[in-house]
Amino acid sequence: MTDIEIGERRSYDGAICTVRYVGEVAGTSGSWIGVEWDDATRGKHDGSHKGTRYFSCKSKSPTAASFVRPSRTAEPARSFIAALRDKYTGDVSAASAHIRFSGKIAEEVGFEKIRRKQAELAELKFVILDGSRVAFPYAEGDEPIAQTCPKVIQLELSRNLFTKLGIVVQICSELPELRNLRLNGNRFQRILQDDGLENAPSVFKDVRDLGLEETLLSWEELCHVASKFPALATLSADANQLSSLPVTPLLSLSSTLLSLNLEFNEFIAFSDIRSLSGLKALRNLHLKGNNICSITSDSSGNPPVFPSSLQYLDISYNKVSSWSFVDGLPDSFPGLTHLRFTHNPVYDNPDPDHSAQSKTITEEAYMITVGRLAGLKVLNFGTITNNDRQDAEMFYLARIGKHLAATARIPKSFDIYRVKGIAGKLFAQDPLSLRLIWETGEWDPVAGFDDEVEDSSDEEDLREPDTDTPDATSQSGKRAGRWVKREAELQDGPRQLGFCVDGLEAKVRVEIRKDAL
Amino acid sequence: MADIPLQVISDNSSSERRITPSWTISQLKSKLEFVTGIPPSSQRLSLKTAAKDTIPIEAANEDDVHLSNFPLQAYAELHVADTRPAGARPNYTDTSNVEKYVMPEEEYEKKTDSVLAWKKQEKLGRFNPEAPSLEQAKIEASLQEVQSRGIAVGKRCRVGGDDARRGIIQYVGDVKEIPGVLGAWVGVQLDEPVGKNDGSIGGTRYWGQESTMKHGVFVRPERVEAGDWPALDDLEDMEEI
Amino acid sequence: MKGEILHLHLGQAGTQLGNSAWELYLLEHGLGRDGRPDPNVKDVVEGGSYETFFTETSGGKYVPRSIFVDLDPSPIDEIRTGDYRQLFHPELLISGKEDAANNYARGHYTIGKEMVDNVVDRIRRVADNCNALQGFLIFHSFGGGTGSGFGALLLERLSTEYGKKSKLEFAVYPAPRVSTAVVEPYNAVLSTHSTIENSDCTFLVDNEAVYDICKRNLDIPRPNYEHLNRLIAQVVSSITSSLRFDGALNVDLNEFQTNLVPYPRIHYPLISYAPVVSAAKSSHESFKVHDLTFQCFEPNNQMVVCDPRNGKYMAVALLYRGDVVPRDCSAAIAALKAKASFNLVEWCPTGFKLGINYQKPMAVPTASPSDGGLASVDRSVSMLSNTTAIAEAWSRLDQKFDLMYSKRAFVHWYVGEGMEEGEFSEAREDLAALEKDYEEVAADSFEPEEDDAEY
Repeated sequence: MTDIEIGERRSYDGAICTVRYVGEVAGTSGSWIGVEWDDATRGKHDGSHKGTRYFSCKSKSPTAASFVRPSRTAEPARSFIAALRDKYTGDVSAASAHIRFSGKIAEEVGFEKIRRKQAELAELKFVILDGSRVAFPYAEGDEPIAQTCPKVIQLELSRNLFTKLGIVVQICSELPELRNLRLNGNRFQRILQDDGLENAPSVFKDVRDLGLEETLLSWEELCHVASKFPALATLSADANQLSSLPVTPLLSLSSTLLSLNLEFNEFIAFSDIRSLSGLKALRNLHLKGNNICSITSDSSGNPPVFPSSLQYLDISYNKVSSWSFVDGLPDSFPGLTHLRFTHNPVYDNPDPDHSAQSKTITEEAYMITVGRLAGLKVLNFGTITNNDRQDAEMFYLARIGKHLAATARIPKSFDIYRVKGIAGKLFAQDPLSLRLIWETGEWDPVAGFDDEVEDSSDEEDLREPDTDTPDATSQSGKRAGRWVKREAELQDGPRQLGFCVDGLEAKVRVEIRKDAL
Repeated sequence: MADIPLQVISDNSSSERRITPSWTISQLKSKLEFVTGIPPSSQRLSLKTAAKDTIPIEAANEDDVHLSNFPLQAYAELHVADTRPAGARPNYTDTSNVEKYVMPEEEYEKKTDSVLAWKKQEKLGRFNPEAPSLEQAKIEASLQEVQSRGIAVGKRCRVGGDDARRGIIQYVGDVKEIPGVLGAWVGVQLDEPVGKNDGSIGGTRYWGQESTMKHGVFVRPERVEAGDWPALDDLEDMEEI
Repeated sequence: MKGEILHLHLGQAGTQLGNSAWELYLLEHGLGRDGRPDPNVKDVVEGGSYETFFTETSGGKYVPRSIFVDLDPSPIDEIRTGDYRQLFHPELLISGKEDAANNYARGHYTIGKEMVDNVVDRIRRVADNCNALQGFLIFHSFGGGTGSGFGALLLERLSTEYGKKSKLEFAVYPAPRVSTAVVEPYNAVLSTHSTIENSDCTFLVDNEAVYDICKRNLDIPRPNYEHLNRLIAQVVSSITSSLRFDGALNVDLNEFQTNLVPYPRIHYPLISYAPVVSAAKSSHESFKVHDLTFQCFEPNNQMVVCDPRNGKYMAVALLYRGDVVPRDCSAAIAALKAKASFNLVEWCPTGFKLGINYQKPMAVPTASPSDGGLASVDRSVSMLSNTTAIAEAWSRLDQKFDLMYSKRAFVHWYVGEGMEEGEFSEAREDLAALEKDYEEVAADSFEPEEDDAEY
């Protein structure tokens, strides 16, 4: 019990935790260790018991903590070398009892050969010691890492028992070929004070990929660590409970970092990550699984602007619920060409006014997104062809048209000028740049003749340009040859509307004059 | 001009096809007959773009009009409608009413290159006079299981991969009270009363004494993990709050 | 060396699949698009044994040992002008002038007949340059005209001329719900009938199953053939990796048959693969050997839609790849034994095998994560299982065939190409016998029992 320290990392039956408290708990007998589990669903509370708080956790989860008995046996922490030997050269007698299916032995072909191969530690290029209870580089009697496995290119040390990042630096200082380092799910302590990081830049000088997911480090700490990697191109910092990224020195990152993963954090707006605008080389930004619903949520109201190097943005599984958000993307991401946007409320239900079956919804959302983002080349892993784009823009305009289509009550006594004035206001256009075309909805033989006219009324319908025009051809080729849609332009002038159109309701298409464009 | 992949869709088929824009409409239609089964004269073609515009592919003189005149785009849908009256369109998809041909047993038995012939010739399965009957094989398999898992009376164990159910093995062997399942059963006295009985089943006592607590359970050997599994409640150490 | 293997890519599906497969092979062997070793990846990639799949030229270039054939000129023309134009030997890209119009009989008789001598001749030239050709991998579809008809014709010829050599197929099989062409059931039944004697082992892939995996696991809302083929290529690569690298299980073509096929006719193993993860998805999930093994037993990871829980296994081969240690495999199998209740047909000469290939799986790197490519993972598993459940797929196909043939629909197209009508009923009989064969395999063995019963 005396040798249990606050901050110590322990492993009980494979579940890793950090010691946060040692002592008694009111209402119980004996002493306890208060722990925060790495798996935040593993515990029973958040550090308080029956109304008394004994400690608090890094995790925000209400079930990250438990009290366990000091006498409980924890699996021993190991050296890097011990874990490496155990995994790649470990003896096998225990597990390989012959397993039978329907009386037939499951035959392990060539396992001896692969064992011999893997046991040549000096040849290992990829080393994965995930959840291996590593806490220090060496134990007594271990040979030097530099001689044991000098060829390691990719090292995974996720979910281990380190307390200090400096220890990882020590391990890696003997791996000159290292290019890729994954440290996910560790709980490094006092990063900013860790003097073990001093010579880190020379140790990590060739590392291009770094994983710091689920480490619960703050953004300052993450950047402090990442900037010790002078050539870092990809940083994964997913699932770190980050809700905003304060301005912090980015140092070398601003010129080296190409890809940044910040999935499954807690951002609600792009303004929360405004400070990333300092990453001048950033190409890919992964924000899947956040709670993003707006561009800006801070008081400034200014949208953040990210460097134009940024081409790919993944905002799938967020909370975007309006298309105006999409309209704002080009301003914040001027270089955006590749987007992933599925699983947002607005994408799953693009247009509540036009409820459609689920199959067409994806199509619709696709169209609307493409239509709104002129610079986009790839959406949701699909390349947008030129034709796709034309189509989408047509579709989008048509859809907008429908939204804008207005029913206006216009007295028959108004003259055409006044009608144009009203239309101009409705669609925010200069009235005299508009043409008004009355769509009778009827077909004339090419010669044309006058229809009988029914009672007229005061109500007319104003409509914006629509995609109706191609209908004339799509009805039927033969018919289009002999029949034409009867339409009449309402010419400028003081004539009263009532003289120009018939019907209880009339559809008047509003077009912008070609010469006005 | 390069080929363009289109989704060709008809009542009977759907597939990605490469269309060459220099084909005439007639050429396309004759090719589509083999895909859709609709004769060219009864095909009505339309191109459905992603924007859901429908563009008919037709012309007065289909032998002369080339597809390049139409806005073909990669992965657009080319719908092929059948203009014949519904009653005249053959059904090639609904198999619910078709009588499926099944080879009669006696005909199968005559074949020389069949699994049956092979089994007979090689004396495999039921044709092996020395093979244990299915029943015997089952019993043997379960005994083998008992052996390979080190199951023996008196040993500690866990049941069903469930760490909470631990106990002590009290019986290994036949249980004639359990109907329909052959081979060895393992009777376990669980540490907690989370079993099915008190060590007796169907009036026969296999171990222990009569009790209202259900510490006893019979399971197949596959589900028993013999080994050093101490009783959980002995371990105050495992306590957690 | 175990001997050279020649790839044959037939018809549109076979050709497209070939493109994707070779793209991945190049990457795994550290070769550039022109077949020369890529100096940038030298220390990351272990070249493996090139000579099985490639021919080395005196100039230090590795040329795929593969022949592409399509009766329709344009898919082959695309290779001739595409990104890999410098890779393939131009003489081994063979195209016709007229397509097979989705008609087995055109591919097998009229048009195919005119081309087959030429193709066999080129094959002979390749074979003559080999030290010890071990066999052929044939990629084609069962539904298309070239794939089904010409594929069957070529297999017949190979059988005559290379009787002793192994012949394995990767075949795109008609999907359960939607046919790609109305006559697909005819083509598939005819082709199966004429290849069943000539192929040693056929891996079926149904596009619908792969499409669903792309949608579900890769989150691609609108998958196209490129997406599908990339995934299939990954699976093909994992199955062939022991042939190309220093593996242990299925190290030569013969072994596939020995390990998986108890009786020559029953040679259609089911493939499952895990993990299928998108490159755009970062690695929250850690893919433990145990989890990957269990995923292989889920219908969602299968390349053909069928339910193995309704069938019996004749053979299972689990091929682990990448950072996998023997201890983890043994533990996964022990767990499988404890949890899953599945039985092997005990009288079959085949059984349960597992092997590890040390070489790490690779994914075609994508210029941008937005391509929806597969992620590069540390380890993967592919499972080849010969299960009677695959008879479901044959039964579905046979039923569709009967629906059409009962009306004699389109039979004239086949007869018009010189095929005898009797071939239809002969082929259908054979498939009916195949269904019976599967029944007979399942006939006398244990019923999988309720292992979790407690009393």
